[in-house]
Amino acid sequence: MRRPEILAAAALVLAADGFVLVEASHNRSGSPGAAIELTERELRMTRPQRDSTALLLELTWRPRGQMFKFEDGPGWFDKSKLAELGYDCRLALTDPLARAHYRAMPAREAFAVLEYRDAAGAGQGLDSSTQSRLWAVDAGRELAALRKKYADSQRYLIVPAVVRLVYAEKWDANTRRYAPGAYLRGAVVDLQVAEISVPPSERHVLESLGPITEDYLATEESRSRGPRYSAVLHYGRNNEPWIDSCRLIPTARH
Amino acid sequence: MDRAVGKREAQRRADRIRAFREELAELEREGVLTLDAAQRAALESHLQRTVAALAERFDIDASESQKQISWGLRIVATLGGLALSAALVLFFLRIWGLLSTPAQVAVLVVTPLVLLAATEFAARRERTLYYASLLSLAAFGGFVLNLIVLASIFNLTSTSGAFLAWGIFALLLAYAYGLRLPLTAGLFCLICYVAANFCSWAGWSWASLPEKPETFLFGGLIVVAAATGRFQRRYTDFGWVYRVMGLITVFIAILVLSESGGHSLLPMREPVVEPIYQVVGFGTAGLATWLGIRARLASVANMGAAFFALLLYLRFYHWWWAWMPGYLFFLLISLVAIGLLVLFQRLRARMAKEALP
Repeated sequence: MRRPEILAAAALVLAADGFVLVEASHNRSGSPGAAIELTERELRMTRPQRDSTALLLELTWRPRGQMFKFEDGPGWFDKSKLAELGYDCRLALTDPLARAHYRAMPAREAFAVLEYRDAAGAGQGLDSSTQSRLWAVDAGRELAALRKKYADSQRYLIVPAVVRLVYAEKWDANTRRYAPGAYLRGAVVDLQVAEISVPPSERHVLESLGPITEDYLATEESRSRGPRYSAVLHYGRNNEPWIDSCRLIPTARH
Repeated sequence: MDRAVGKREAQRRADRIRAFREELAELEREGVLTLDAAQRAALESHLQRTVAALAERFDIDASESQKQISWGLRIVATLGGLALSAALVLFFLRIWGLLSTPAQVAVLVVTPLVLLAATEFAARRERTLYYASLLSLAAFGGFVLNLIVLASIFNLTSTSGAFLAWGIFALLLAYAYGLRLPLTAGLFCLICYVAANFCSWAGWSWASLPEKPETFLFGGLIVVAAATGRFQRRYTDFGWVYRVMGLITVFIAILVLSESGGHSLLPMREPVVEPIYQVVGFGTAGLATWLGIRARLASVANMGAAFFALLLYLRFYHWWWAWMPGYLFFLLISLVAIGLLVLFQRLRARMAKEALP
């Protein structure tokens, strides 16, 4: 190749890939910041495409998007927490422009604290054996402060996430208007790394199970058996995760 | 002579020769000019030799039908490049789980490098660069796949820096061979990079860029301004791509803000922001049309006029549609269209008068 632009393009590919590999190596060097064993409830097996051979584990937490109820109120993620994360909540909710103003606010990056609750704390219901037991319980901008506050790394995961302000209001079908009493709350809408690649060394454990989690949860068996596997999740120096070891769960664990 | 500039100049000369032949035939039919047999033979022989030499050296389109086929070839090369990129992505997803991590990394690193080498090989073998264009798109796709999948394998947080790397890569390909497709992709990536960094600087998630159209304005304006840069001299038609990409970005951002002011960064209320951007939109469209006419840049003038008309009809819709009977609304629209026709015809007539010696 004689053209300097093509040599530069090839060098760019190598430099970018080198940067990625160095970052990955740095993340996994030293002792992990957190290590916790989670089950299929929290780490759901998925594939980028139906016919793909790649295996990913999607970290799920509660409450997710549509699981909020207006009556629940803002909970811990209230107006003051939103302000702490950088949202400007000064416009009165009674202002006629409040809805448009708050709904146009973009998402922000923050650290979310996910608490692992055992069966007693995870809540009851038809799907309690298959629902995630990780609950978003706090969020903040300073990792060190959160680590200090939630020091038990077996119980709390502190993960880079995306949070959003939600203008919560209730639609009254009778009057065909929004009912009074709108309030602001926040939501952890996504994780910076929500899908974690299963390393080749652990792939055989999960591949022996057959269907991905979404299909498995649609079966009757999932209700009686519960999660089929567990995996150890680590978070490294860059707060990026990796899967260490996977094992099969022979019987239901509630 | 630089090959890209040479080909363009050669094509222009071939077009001039074709037009000259047509005009000569017309003049002879009208009896204004008649060449004797010797003159005609000498002229025809010279023109044929010239066109053949240009075709031999630069592979130009010597006839109108050849030109049409060339357009078809460009479209096919684009679709082929996109299809090859999609095939690469799907094939990798298919084999991902069958490879060890070092093998995955090796395949990802080697793919864009091999496609770069293939692009260079094709460019050396074929003067028209259709295969090089196809392969350059696939190389770009390979590099996009490379960074996305590497980040996924090692579970790294996605960053806006990927847009910068992709943008530079595509621009290097574009300037290496004078290809407009990688240039378009590269400019799009760089505009996204600027917008994403603006979001990060404002404290939002960088991925929020579609929610804040103003973040695209800066990148769009930079791209429009870059159209006049000295580095465009080597590829004069690259200026067209810069202007179109930049103006489309700016116009879409203004259009969204003029309709949905809540997404604006301005510390004002929605009912204030929207009229501001409506005025800015009309002003920008008018300015683009005026500058396009003055600088003889048809693409800028046409885009400005089209954006002006779009904004105008949107205003009519907001002002009248809700309360006016439908027939009256469309009657008014047609009257406005007739008014615009009269205006543009007068403008055209004035320009024609100015163009006459």
